[in-house]
Amino acid sequence: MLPVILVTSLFTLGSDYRTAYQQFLLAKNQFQQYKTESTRLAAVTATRQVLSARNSLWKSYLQNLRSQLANDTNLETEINYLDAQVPEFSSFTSLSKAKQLSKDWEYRLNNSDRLADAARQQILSYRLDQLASRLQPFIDQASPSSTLDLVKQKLGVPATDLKQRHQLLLEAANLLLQLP
Amino acid sequence: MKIFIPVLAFALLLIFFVSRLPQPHSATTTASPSPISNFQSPASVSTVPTQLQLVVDDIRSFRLDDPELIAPSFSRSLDIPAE
Repeated sequence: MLPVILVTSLFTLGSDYRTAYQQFLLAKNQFQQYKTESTRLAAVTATRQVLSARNSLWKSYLQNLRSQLANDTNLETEINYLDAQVPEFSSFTSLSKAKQLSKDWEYRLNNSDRLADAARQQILSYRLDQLASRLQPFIDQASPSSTLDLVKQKLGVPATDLKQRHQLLLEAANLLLQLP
Repeated sequence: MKIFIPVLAFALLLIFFVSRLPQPHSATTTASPSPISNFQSPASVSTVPTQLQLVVDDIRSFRLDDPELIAPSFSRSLDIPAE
């Protein structure tokens, strides 16, 4: 249930981010065109909103991944960092400060990306393990045959590539369907 | 002898038709275990492939590019104007 709520939240936050980004582009263009104090203030406000929306969106995504893993302290650290950015993004009063905060956030995103990718691989690998374990009772019940040997062989291949593992699992499952 | 042959033929025909009549089943016969009762019922036989088919369907629908796990898109280099 929790992942469903998080995915819904992610969808809403994605929509909020796109709106904030459009407002930011508009405010930025007006500030660059008119260079007045009011357009500067509008640009600062719009930048606060877009930085906060981007931060929330990425945090929600990491939380979604985190909720599907038994334990992962690396993601927890990233989520805590993003949490700490919330007051920073809502309090700056100059565009130069906003630029510095944004650059720091984007720099850290590279590492955060790698962690998210590792978490994604871990979740998919776990799902494949679960599917393989659901096939096991049918293998245990089947009578000995060359087809069954082939099934066991395919499931026993030490594959680390997820695509290859899925393919082998699919082939083993299709062979099991052919057994009497 | 001439009379005996038609009587014998009639008797044989009678025995033939009587033996073809449906036999009433006794209560003992109905209650006794059927020879096929030791086999699995059709329902239990069909359950096994159905469950396997469900697992196979789940394996087929497994996606490496699950939309739930795809990272959201956003600007990774926000161009904030200088003051």
